[in-house]
Amino acid sequence: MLLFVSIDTLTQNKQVLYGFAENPQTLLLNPGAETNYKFHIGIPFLSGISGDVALKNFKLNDLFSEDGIDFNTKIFRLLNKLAPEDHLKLNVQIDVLNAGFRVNDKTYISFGFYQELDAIAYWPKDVITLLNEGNAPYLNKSFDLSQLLYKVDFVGVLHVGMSRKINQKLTLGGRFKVYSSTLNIETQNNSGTFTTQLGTNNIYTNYLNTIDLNFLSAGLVVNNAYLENPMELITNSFLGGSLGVGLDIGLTYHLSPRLEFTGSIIDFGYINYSKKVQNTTVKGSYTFEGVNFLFDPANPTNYWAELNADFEEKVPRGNNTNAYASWRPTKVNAALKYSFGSERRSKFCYDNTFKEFYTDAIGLQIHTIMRPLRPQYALTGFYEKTFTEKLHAKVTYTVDDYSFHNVGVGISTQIGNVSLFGMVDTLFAFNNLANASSASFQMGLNLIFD
Amino acid sequence: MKHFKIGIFLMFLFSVACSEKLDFKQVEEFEHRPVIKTPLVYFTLYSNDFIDTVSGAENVNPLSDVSDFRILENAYLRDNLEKIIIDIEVKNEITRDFTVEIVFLDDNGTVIYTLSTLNVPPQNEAFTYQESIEVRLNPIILNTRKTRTSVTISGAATPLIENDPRAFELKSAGTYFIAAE
Repeated sequence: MLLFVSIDTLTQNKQVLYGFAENPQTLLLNPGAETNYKFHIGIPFLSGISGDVALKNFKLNDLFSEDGIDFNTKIFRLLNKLAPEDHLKLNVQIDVLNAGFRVNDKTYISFGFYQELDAIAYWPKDVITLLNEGNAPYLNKSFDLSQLLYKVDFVGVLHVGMSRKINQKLTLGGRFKVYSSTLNIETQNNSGTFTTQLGTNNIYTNYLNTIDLNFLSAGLVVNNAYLENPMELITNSFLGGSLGVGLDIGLTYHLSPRLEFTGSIIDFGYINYSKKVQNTTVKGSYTFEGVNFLFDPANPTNYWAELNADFEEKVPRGNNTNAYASWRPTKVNAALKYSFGSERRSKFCYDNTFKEFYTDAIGLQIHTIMRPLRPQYALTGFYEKTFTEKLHAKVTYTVDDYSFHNVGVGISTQIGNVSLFGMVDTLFAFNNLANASSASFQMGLNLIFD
Repeated sequence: MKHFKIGIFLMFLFSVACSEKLDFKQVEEFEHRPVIKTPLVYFTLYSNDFIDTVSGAENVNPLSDVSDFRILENAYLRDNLEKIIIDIEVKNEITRDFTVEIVFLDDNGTVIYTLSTLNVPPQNEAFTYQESIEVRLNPIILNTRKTRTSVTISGAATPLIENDPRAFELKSAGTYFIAAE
């Protein structure tokens, strides 16, 4: 079933993993996270796997329940319920290689390569309504084509980062990333409307007003033919695709022995899409009143050809292979954590010093991700429990676009040098995924050497 | 080791996700029925259009014009069009009867469908006509590639006045009913 979730399933809000148990994978969410080991090696392809699918305002059982309700009725209800800001998002990330080593007692270097599929598609309500019901029931309504908004990206990310303890209170970190995108399709910043009104010269008039549509793609079309071998997307993701650069920065700051602030900005960067680019543009305005017969047999008019030529001139469509740049979905994380409970000491093995920690902690996290339509926010309250030095658990309660009662839970355990973590979000949804608007998981297997 | 086992157990629990039984086959029942309205032919004729400029005599022959009409070349429409409703509105300010014949032609110019002839009384400024064409009963309508409109003025009851500003206006629209699975 986990596999099902991963197949069926952006860069997701990993609120359970964030700041959790000094796991090596937390360095990808905050390069300024504290670490206390000498080095780590991720098990290839297993060191960090995450999947997340979310459908805002939609659940599978809205449509596919065996409830005896006519399917077309359910479709009609759903179409009425969905709004242009509703969307589908999908993120799958697989860590191919991940490792790190301590340079000295203050500096930890980590590096690796991961692949990420990130997609978001907003619901173009007006376009769907027009296609599904036509313009007849909607005279005078302006169908808004700016609602066409989607972005899909498949990237390989090569990264190297450093976290450095500045003093007892402050740890800073940064990570440099090189992106290699083998597939991008997106359409953004579109405009224009389609309207049908009662006309003056004829019964109706169709209007296309200030249409400006851009459909961009890189990696999908080569020599006017669609990509034939999808495996190329994966094999070329190691620096073989369109390249970009990005930066992660982060910090940990102890306001007091018990109170800790962490924050990070992840994927502040862009990709210059230059390979296998195929873009389509449509631009212009047009008013269609029908064909005006002139009844002039001496000078017969080829109305249809004139109409086509006029339309092509006023609403030109074009293809180009111009390179374009697009920002990565930048994430901003911040958290405040208050520790309490029993005080314990763990040995910092790399320099034989000790670190004090508490068995319990509560806190608040905020997560923001830049999205094509608008940023998305999530607020998480969490409770962290340390059972032993090697077994930690974290429970989260998140309020976001998809749910007001999203409970997540994660555990991190270490036996010998093997560190294993697993966490699921939308916990209550896992007993009936069909009734969930989102589902996500993260897991990883790493070797840690103290 | 005990904690490791607890960990494995919890991991297992997390991975056992469930779902109520869903029936994805319902998709096969999906049918969408868009209804599309577009303007068709329109024109305005005056008395002068029916008067021979040389002899000054009334022109009793029909005035006729033709246009290509190629939207039914679209495979989606050909496969899914159920019905077409043609709406016609006429404003006749002229003091004479008119007959209007609208026909649909195939690519060879052969008439494949004729709308009922419109007999528009004199000075009827709100004449309307609607004809519904069921594609199932008239599948040949899908071969329409041209449309021709002919307008004939009735015999002289009251003579036409040259440069008379009163007009004969015709407007038309098509409503296309689509049923696609």
